[in-house]
Amino acid sequence: MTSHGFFAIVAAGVLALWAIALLGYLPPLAKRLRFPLGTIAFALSWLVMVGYMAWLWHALQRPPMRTMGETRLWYIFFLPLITLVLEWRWRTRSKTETSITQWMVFLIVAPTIAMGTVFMLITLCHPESLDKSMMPALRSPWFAPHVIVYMVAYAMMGVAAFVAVIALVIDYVKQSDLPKKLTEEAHRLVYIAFPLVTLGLILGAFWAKIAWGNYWSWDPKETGAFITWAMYLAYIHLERYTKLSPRLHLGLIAGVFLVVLGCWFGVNALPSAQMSVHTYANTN
Amino acid sequence: MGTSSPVPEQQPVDFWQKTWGWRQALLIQLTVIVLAIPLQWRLAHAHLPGITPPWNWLLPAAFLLLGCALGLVFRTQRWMRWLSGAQFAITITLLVVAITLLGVLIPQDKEKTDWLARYGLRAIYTSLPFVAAILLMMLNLATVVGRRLVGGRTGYIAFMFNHVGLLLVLLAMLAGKAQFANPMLQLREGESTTTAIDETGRTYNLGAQVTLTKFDLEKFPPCLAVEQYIDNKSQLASDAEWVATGQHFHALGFDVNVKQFIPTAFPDDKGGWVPNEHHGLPAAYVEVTAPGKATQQGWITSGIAAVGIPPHPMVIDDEHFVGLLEPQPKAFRSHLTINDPAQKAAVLEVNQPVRIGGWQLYQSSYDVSMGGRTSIIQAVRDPALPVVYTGLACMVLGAFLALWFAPKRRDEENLPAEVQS
Repeated sequence: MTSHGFFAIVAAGVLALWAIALLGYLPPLAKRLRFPLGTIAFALSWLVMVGYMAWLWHALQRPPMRTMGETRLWYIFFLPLITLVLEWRWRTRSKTETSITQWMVFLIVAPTIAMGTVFMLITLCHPESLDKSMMPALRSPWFAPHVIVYMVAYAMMGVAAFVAVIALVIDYVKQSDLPKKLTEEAHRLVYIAFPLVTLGLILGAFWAKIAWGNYWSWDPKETGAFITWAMYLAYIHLERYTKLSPRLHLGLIAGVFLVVLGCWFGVNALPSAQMSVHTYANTN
Repeated sequence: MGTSSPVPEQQPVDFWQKTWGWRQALLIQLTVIVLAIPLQWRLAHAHLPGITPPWNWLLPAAFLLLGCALGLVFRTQRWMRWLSGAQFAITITLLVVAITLLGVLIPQDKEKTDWLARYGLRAIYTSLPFVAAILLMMLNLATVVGRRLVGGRTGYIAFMFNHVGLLLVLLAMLAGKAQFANPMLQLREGESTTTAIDETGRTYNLGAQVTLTKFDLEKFPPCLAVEQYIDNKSQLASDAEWVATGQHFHALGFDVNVKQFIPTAFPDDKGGWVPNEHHGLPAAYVEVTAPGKATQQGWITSGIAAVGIPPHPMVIDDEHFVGLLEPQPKAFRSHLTINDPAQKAAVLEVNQPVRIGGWQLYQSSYDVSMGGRTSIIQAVRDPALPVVYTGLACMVLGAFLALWFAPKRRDEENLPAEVQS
């Protein structure tokens, strides 16, 4: 069996568990169940991804972080983890299980699963061949921390953006306290993710200095990373020092994440990216 | 008869007399940046001498100290709160983002001489409008640091680390440019040099003699894969597996048995390939069984793209073929002897630079296309590096400290007076 065939089986398993999780988290059903079906299925799906990533790392004999498809897998890996931590936090903070908590959890899990499914399908539609080769520049102790820190931060920013979009929708549909609570959660996620993005950027600069002799060369991908960082910096200043209307606040959290996606994937489509020293694979 | 007191008419307030905020920040910043454009155009024709040491450090440092001092002295003035405030900071950050975005959309190429180059758009990150935007950002940072020197509050340390860190990085990037040098040296095995040459042809003395005693090129084994023609391009249709004698490979219904693999092979008179230690290509004798077809046997080779030798795959059907992929470099390293003046040996490879005097040597690339082995080495001199690293460390520390102090600080700063600061 090819690695792609194996991934298709893993993906099918994860998607099936996500579907069960989605049903389990649905508040009307969650109320009737005596056990947390959603959490169990979601945690199981994450464990499947843990197993798959471990297998991939072992099979490739290198960190599976070289290609765009491999970084997408890390994103799929971290999304449920962030969501599970968030769920745990919400449940432990609210002393009794209220329907608001149940809806908050469902409304965060649903878009996370949707985003994960999109990434999974993209990876299935653009199969990458298993290739153990790793160019000398990537053979560095800075490589794995740089990528992992970035993926955790991007996953947090992604979850924050979903929460923001959901809160915006609820705010338009009906007046309640839910959007305010969701806004606080989304902002907190961004606030935690920002130092990680800063760390990722700086780890990359240290690595670039050791590998290429220059910590910053305004390469298109470096510039994309800088733009992402600067946009979140602007957001944090806006949030702290100005009075933002609730809807604008939510719109900003969601909008700045589009910049992340644009810089992560969009930069590769530009002609200038073809000359990037950070292009490690031809297959995306 | 009573007289009614006249209602005072509200006088229209002039744009510049209003409390300064977003609009004034954007207008002034845009004006400075736009004014830098014709200056850039004018300077494109001129050959001005660069700022030489120590002025490259003294001038920006004086600018920053002046900004800090102004921030400290005029900290209660409205105009200073605006200049050092968040609105100014946010607008200049967004303008810097806009300029850097242009640098991604327009391919940067210093060699081009079109109208885009005339306005600095082919080298945007060294253009005057960009430098002007960075100076405005530094002014904002310096004044806010100066203003906050008095009266530390919760989160003060995080604030200082963040802002001073970024200020140091920007200062080092700006000031260090004049002293930064990254000339190249190309050495064949056995050759020596004491100099390196940059892209403008300027020669730099390395202060030591560097001899390439040996160059190692380590490659991954070539990979065996089933490939497919899609849109007249060959693409991988299966996993790529490192080839070895006796290997059995199964993909897309095809069975491939590797009867013999020769890492460096040369063609013989009978149409086969024989081992050759010195020159040759990776070659494999394979047996391929496709469903419903007779078993095929034959040699496949990987080719060498750098010297125009095409690969020689085995065609299985109208779409698929079995090929050997060109081996990818795993590591390349230069064994150097450095006389400065004491003789010492050093091994240089990617991610493992070597220091000689004020220079740091980096293994940049290699050339094996013309026979022999040429190591391409970059020598880098960057006196601003300690300042950059200090700034980066401060930024990371500040970012995490800000996280630590966040809840307390947010409570404090719900005060209305702080909202506009």
